[in-house]
Amino acid sequence: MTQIALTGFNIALIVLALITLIGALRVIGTRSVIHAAFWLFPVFAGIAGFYLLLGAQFLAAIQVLIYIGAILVLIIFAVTLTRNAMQTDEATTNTFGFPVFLAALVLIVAVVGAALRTELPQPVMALTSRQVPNDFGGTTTQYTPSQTELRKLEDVYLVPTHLATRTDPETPGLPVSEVPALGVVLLQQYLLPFEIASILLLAGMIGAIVLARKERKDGETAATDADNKTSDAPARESVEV
Amino acid sequence: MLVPFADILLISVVLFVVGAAALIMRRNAVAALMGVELMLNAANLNFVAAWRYLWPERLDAQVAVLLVITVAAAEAAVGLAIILNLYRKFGTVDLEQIRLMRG
Repeated sequence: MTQIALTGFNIALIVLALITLIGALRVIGTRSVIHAAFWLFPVFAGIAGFYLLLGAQFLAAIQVLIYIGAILVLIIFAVTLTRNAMQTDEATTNTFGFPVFLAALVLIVAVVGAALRTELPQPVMALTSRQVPNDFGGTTTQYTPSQTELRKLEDVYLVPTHLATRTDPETPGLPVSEVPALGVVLLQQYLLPFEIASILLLAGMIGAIVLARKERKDGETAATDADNKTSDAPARESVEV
Repeated sequence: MLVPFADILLISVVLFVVGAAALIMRRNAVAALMGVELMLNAANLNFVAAWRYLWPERLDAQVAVLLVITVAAAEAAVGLAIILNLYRKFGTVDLEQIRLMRG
């Protein structure tokens, strides 16, 4: 067991963990559904902070755009459309309360126990690597790829060589910015899942419109169901950025 | 034992379990969907942590996170539309009172 090092990284980690987990507990614990929806904001923002902390800048931006900008707004729309927003007098949880609490504890203990017994998988690529002791008790594999390995990196994983070689001196093997490489990987190696995701979004958009519109009776004008469609609009626009 | 990788995994486990509990316990259908969003976020956090600590030179995990976010957006739109339909049909989104298939 090592001493807790109060580096900036660890302080940020603790603060983000507190924000995220307190938000999540409030989401499940608060009586008012609209308050629960608003408590989702610190959770999503905290996750975006984790992404930034771990070096995934693009994902942090996407998290803010989609989760906070679209899904959260969509959820708040749904809450206000389906109930009186400030009404809190009815019971919020069903009778499963205590069993669920026990099951949650058991699940956490089981997963943590399994994780502690699991040997973490070695990186798939056989780069020239050496084991160096790290500040959290174990060893970390550091990579110093040779020229042939760099070429393999470019051939097999389609990461441009000039990106793979530009590594941060403090964290070897981690590119300074992975955003350009992510674009390359997404549109070459993962082009088919990317396109399938587009079709899924289109299907979801059409499905949401079809499901949410009122069945129009005779004599009813188109203006009456315009308000139903507005709830879907933010998600669609942001998702397709 | 402040182990960054294990810490982040622990945070994501707790987040996942809280989301699952919300999905099971909350009576409001919209609140149950919020639980699903929490679980998806926990999974995404796991992906990013694995990318950062295990395979920093491969970007598969980030692509997976992007696809999960896409699916989450589509799921939220369709799920909330379904809930809106339920509300029109039953006048409530209380999952205890929507028991059409329970007899």
